[in-house]
This record gives sequence, C-alpha cells and structure tokens, in this order.
Amino acid sequence: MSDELLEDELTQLTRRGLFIKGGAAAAGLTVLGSPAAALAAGTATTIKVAVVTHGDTGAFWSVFKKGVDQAAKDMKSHGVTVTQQYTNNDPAKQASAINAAVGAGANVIAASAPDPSALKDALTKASKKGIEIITVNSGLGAFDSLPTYEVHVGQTEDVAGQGAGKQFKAAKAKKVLIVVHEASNSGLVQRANGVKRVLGASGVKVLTIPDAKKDIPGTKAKVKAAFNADKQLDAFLGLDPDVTIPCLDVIPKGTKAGTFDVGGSIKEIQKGRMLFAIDQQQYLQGYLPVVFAYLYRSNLNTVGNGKPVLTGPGIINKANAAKVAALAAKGTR
Amino acid sequence: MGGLRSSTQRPEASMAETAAQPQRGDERLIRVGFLPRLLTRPDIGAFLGAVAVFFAFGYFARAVNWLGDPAIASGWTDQAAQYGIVAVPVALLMIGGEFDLSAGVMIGSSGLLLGYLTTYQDLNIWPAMGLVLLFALAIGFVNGLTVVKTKLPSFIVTLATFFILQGVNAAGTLKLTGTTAIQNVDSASGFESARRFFSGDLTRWDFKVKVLWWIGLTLFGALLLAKSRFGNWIYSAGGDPVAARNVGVPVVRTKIALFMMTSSVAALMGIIETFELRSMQAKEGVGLEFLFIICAVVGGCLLTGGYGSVIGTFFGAAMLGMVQLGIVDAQWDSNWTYAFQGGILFAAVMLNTVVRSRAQRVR
Repeated sequence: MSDELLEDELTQLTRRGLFIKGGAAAAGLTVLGSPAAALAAGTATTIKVAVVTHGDTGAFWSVFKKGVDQAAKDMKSHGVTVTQQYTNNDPAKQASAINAAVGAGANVIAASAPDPSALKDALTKASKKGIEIITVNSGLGAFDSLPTYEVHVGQTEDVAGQGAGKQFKAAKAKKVLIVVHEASNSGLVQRANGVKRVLGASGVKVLTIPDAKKDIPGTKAKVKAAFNADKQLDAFLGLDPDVTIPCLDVIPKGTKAGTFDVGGSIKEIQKGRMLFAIDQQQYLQGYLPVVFAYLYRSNLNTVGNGKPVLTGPGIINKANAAKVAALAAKGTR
Repeated sequence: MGGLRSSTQRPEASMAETAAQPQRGDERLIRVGFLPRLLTRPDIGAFLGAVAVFFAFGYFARAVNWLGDPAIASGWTDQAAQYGIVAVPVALLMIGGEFDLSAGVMIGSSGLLLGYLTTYQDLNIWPAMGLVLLFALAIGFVNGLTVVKTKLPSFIVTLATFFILQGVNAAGTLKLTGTTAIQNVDSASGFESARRFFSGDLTRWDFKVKVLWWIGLTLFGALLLAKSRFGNWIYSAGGDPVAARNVGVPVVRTKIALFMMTSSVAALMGIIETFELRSMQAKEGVGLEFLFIICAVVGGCLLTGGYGSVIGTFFGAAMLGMVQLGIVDAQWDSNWTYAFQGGILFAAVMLNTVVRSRAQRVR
C-alpha cells in the first residue's frame, strides 16, 4: 500500500469516526465513563496519546522509542499528539507519570507494567476517567478488568519459547541446554517451558545460574561443565545475549546455539557461531499502540479480541541477518 | 574486638607457644608438636571442609570422573580462582578489622575503565592497565582514609563506595556505548600479547592462568601475614587498634594500605576478566563482595578482626568453587546452589568456633 493510499484510508476512517460520534450522541447513548462518552467528550481534532514505560535509554528501549517517534510522525496529520516518558525501572515514578498524563488530558495511555500492582491505582483512576489503556511490552493480563482496557502489545514468553523450540526442532536438535540466568525470574522460566512444549521435557535441560550476568567467567565454567556432564546435549539456548555470546566460547563444536533478544548476536549469526536470535520487535511495541489508539478513538476499532497482539517472536537467522543488521544500524531493529 | 590475646602477639604463634614450652628468643621460630599446632590453626576447618566436599562430589559426580578428570578440576579451579584472588586481600583486610563491600563492583569498574581507555582512547593495553591500577589505588585510599578519619564503620563507608561505583558503571557504560557492555576490547594494541599473562589456557585441559594468580597471591598473602612486620601490624590493628597504636604500630597507615591492596587486587581481577571475556559488562562483579567475605569467614577469619588465615581463605574459595561446579557436574538442580553455600558457611563457622574455643582452652 502506498503512503498516499494509506493516508486516504485513514482520513476516511476519521470521517467515519466522527460520524459514529455524532450518531452515538444523537441517539442519546452516552453513558458517563464509558468509552463512547470519552469519545464524544474528546475534541474532534486532537487525540492525545501518552506512552509511559518503565524503560531506560538503553539499546532495547531506544528501538522502542524509534517506533513511537515514527508513529507520532505518521499520525500527526490525523491530529494525534504523542508524549513519551521513560521512568528507568522506577514504579513510583511511572505511577506519577501516569497521573500527570491524566492531568494533562491524555485520551489514551500506553503503559508497560513489569510490576502491575504498582501501577494499579494510577491506571484504575485513568480508566475511570474514560481514558483507554493499552499495555505494551509487559503487563499482559493484569488490567483486563479495567472498563477501558483495550489490548496488550508485546511478546508472550510462552509463545516466544515455543518459537525458539521450533527453531531447534527444524535444526534437528536432540537436547537443548537452557541457561536461566536469574533465579526465580518467572518470565525466564516461562520461556524455558515454551521450549519444552515443542521439544518435550526430555529434550530440554534447564541450568539455573543465580546472578549469571554478574559472574560471566563462572557462568562459562558452569555451562562447560553441564555439556561435559550430559553428552546428549547438542544445543544451547541463552535467554540474554550478554549470557549467550560469552558462552559460545565454551560449548562444544557443532552445538546448535540460539538466544533470546538481539544485542550483539547478529554478528555471531553471520559468523555461523549461532543459529538464531529471538527478536521481540519492540519497534512494533512502540509504533502499534499509537496507531491502535488512533483507530479506536476515530473509528472504535478494537484489535486482539481480548488476546494480546504479539510482536514476537521474530526470528533472526542467517537468511535475514544481513538485512536486519542494516536495519539495526538505523536503530529500528 | 580484641581481648583474646595481648594485642601485639600473633594468635597462631601465641597458641603454639602454649602448646609447647615457652622459650627464649623469637616466638615465631619455636618448633612445636605437629598435632596440637594443627588442631588450633584457624584454617584447619576450611581445609577439612574442602577435602570433604572434594570427596563428596567424587562420589556424587562419579559419572563424570570428578576425582580423576583434569578437565573437571580445571572447571572448579576456574570458579574458585574467581573468588579466591580477591578473597586474599579481603581476608587480610578482615584480619585488620575492616570490610570492603566495594571489592566486587571494583571488578566491573576497573574492567570498564580498561575497556574505555583502550577502545575509546586508543591507549595501548599496558599503560591502560597502569592507569586502571592507579585508579584502584586511589579508590582504596579514599575508602581507607574515610574509614580511619571519620571512624565510621567500614561497612557503611564501603557500602557508599559500592553504590557510587555501581551507578557510575551502569550510567557511564550506557552513556558511552548505548548498551550495557563495552565490547571489542580485544581490538586494543597489545591485547593478544598481554592476554597470555592474565587469561591464557595453561594446558590442554584448559587450566586457566588465573589459577596461578590465585595460588601466587595466596602464598604472597600468607607469607606477608606470617613472616613480615606488616603482617604483625595487620593482626594488631585488627585485634586492638588502641593498644596497637600505644605500642607504636602505625594503625592508620596499615588500614589504608589494606584498603588499597583490596581495591587494586579487585582491579587485577577486572583486568583478568576483561582479557578473558574481551568485553566488560556494567553489572560484572556486583554481589561478589559477599562471596569474598564468605571465603574469608569459611577460611577462619573473624568478623571482629584480629584473627584469621589466608591459607584458610584459599580453601574456602576452593570449597565454593567445588560446590558451584559440583552441583552442575552431579546434574543436580542448580537452584540449590545458594542453599549449599549457606550450609557450608554455617558449618564452617560452627567448626571454626569450636577450633577457636579449643585454642583458647589450650592457652
């Protein structure tokens, strides 16, 4: 679809949205607090979207931010304005940023929620005011009960784990060693369980290394020992490139290796030291909520039907590594 | 602190002295019976523990030939050296009556600094290492000076250093690289030639050069403690600093020197890791400070100072290395690692308490 065409269609959507708004008001269907009421009360020309995440300015979130930036640019002509806040893993700061967004008259709030309970009050309050809530990246399922909850945009750990499992299956791996690099991180365990669902419990061995990232030499020694202790192992999956890449030095030759998240792994994939990386495509997590917000506010379109919109797992392997590397250089992958 | 013995006497010697007949001349040269001397040594608990753990995994991990395969030993010695190198000055510092909670994070700080100097300032690896050591000595000096001048507990002072360094590591690395690690340090000039001194493989079983550093530093620390005047000062500064000062021991200088030793050996560890990994991550080393302290405590060092052993600390590190790798080799669920570490710490402290009270009784 050409940009022009897209723009045309979006303009139409706007018109249709305005029509619905008028129709709903005329039919006297407005109920205070309902999305329709918020819709009718909102100004016809601007849709204010507030993106409030727990992210930092690191590699991962800078790609996310590029997605938001691009969406803000693309949607500007449709009267969408976007604000962004990155609260650096500080739940209290994130909650107050959400409150501030409510105060500033946001129509839609897109928030990540690694710690849902910390944001519960702020998001409930926002929802009561008729502000639509979209969760991004993390927080799946935590706010389903809010009256204005729209959708989750992210990658579920289980599905992503299954994606990794399928890659190993295609490569005819028999038994994969998965390093869980933080003890009692439920997300990491879910990833491992996703792999198990594809390869079966006997095709997976989980090695938990508490605080692996703080003692990388020790982590390498343990991975080496694990391969030595179980000769059936012929594949390796790290759940963080900072763990996976150093361990490539110590896994036996010919081991099929993969990782979660991209980091520096594209280079290793091109060198043939790694088969694949699971990419959760956080650019989409930044881009899509702004578009979804616009489509809902202008056209009452909903997506996902109560299920999350999955942005991953995107697979990076030798076939697309060079292209992705070029995109990564532009900061969008 | 103190009270166990007169301040300038060295505990091992004083115990030994009572086990044998007191004699004229230098007390350090007294020859005493083997068994009584052995049973009152602060490091006996760690030694016996290490032997027990070694043979326990010899049984539980017999499937991989734990006792006989040198490749297995290269694995756990690698891990043990990871703790044992910095544990040497940490033990000396504890005997001197102080803690350094910044010893772990210093590994990351110095590795990141080395990476910065070589990849961003294009410095040759050798002068860069020199600058890293100077930086570490400065941090140790500040730690030591703050502790002795303010008389605040070193626990608090170095906790502050710990947080400051951790923040600088995280924020600085992110600002510099946009990610959480400095990569491609091996592009530095002189990297490969210097690497074999710090992180080569010694044999076809992959024993690491790091293990030699561990053994070498342990011998140096043990000799320093046992045979030098500075060793005497360490014991007395930790045992009873007031009494020590009264008999002319330069307590302030001794403590500052110990802090500087600790931070510079931590920096050495950071250098070794940078050579090994060819990169350095912002989180590296955080949390290891407690493992160093565990090595020292298992090795017989008292939290109150004035008592302990570098040799014992060596066996403490060996034990932790064996447990961490042994759990993997025996194919147990590695989630248990922390529980095992706690169990060892508990058992060692109990045993050490028995040994010490026995030593006092003999006295």
